[in-house]
Amino acid sequence: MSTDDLCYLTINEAASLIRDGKLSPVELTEAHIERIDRLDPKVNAYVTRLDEGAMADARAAESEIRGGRYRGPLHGIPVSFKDLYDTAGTRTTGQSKVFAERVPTQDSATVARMKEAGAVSLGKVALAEFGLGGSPTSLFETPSNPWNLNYSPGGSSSGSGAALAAGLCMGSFGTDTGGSLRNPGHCSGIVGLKPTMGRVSRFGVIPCSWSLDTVGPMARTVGDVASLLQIVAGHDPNDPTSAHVPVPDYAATLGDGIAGMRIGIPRDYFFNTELGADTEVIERAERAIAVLQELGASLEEVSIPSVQDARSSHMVIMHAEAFAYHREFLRDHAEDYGPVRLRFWLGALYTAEDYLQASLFRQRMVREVDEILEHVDVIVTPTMPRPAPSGGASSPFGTLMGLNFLAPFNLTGSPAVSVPCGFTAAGLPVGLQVAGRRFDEATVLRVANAYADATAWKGMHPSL
Amino acid sequence: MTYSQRLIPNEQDLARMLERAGMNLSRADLEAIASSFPAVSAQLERLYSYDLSRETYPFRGIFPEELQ
Repeated sequence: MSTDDLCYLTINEAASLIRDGKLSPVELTEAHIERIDRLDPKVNAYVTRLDEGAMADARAAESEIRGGRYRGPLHGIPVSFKDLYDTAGTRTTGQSKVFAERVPTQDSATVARMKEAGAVSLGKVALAEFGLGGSPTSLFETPSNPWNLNYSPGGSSSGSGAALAAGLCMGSFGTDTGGSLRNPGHCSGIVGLKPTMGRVSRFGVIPCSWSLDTVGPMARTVGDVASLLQIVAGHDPNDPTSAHVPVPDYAATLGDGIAGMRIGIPRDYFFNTELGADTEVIERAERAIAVLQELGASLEEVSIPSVQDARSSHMVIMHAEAFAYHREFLRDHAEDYGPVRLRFWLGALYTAEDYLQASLFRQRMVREVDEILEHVDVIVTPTMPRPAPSGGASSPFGTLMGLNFLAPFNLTGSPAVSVPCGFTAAGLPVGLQVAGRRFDEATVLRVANAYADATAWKGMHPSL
Repeated sequence: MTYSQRLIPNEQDLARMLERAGMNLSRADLEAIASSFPAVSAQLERLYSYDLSRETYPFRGIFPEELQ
């Protein structure tokens, strides 16, 4: 098997080979380091490489496995972490000069659980500054989309999306405050899961917006995302928002199919080209829905009555909370921020009444989505209204207005995954979003997996 | 409160507010932020157009039960 073939194995394929002694974690890690050497100068996914540590971890994994101490499906698997995840002894910058010299003494909960599972950390990957800004950032280069280097890989977990699409890691962990796991899923043609709020510990992750931030896994297949989620899901006493909810065996139901499942399609907002959605994106999503129907699911037209204003509520809450976190840093180190400082300052403008009005609207959104999910199992939409934007400098304010398919499920805390569902004529990936009931990631993943297994997209990789 | 009672954001409001918090913004930064005010005003107008009196507790159903 060539180096490149090794790097495009799925986690679950590599795990089987490693468990059976047919693939060495050292060989797999070396293949990734060689590929990163060769291709990351084009993609700019990594901001801190941990080659020596990765090789040491790989050798330790190999030794343990040879000694009969196989830890499970992540043992010896090379992964990366968005540079918001604290890593003991390794800088964690938020891709900002403000934290350029910040070296945590303790691992974040996700990093700790991945280490315990025997995963190999290849390094820290890029992001939009502090998970909110656009491009440029005050520290490090901005990544490019491996499918077309002139385009963005999506954000804010941009490095994770770019690294996975380019075969520079097998799994990655990002964060999602307004869509940052699903947006790179859509733009980079990979799978990004925003778990339920409270499902995965946020301990040791630099915050953006405390009531919206969610952390979760990204990979090239739904099965791999399920394997990563299995490791990091569950209560953590270090995170007061972490839930005491049992964690099911995600792999056990992943392949159960969707015959008889009820799928809600909110066409009035999410498929509406008159509101500005791209016709190619909508056409790909419609084709995907036809596949779900062929697989035995029943479709039901649904409507989330207030969804068109979810973005407004989300913006008030996110900016107000982000300003609260950054207030002292902005006062003392404003010159170290990139253009994202403008968005943080914007948060100062909102009053307590604005924040509460937005929070009450949020409760309305929860009620409206819950009412729909009483009679359908999942809601399916395009992940984004448009394909990946071009690279280069972007507005520091992002898109304050207009269609937004991601924020509604941040407001509701629902699990939502983006799975590849095709390409535009220009060759840019398109994602399908599946959202479900809180703590029912198993059903969301099952639908996404049924679709992925019935189509060919997951086997496609960019040529770099 | 209705949107008509809400102080519509402007550059001076923001500058004064941030100055009180110990932050002095450059003219260029203030102007850049002000460019977003029409969008911010439109968003607030939409939010205040809703009667949200039925929604009683902001975080019900979002965070774990034991936190509510």
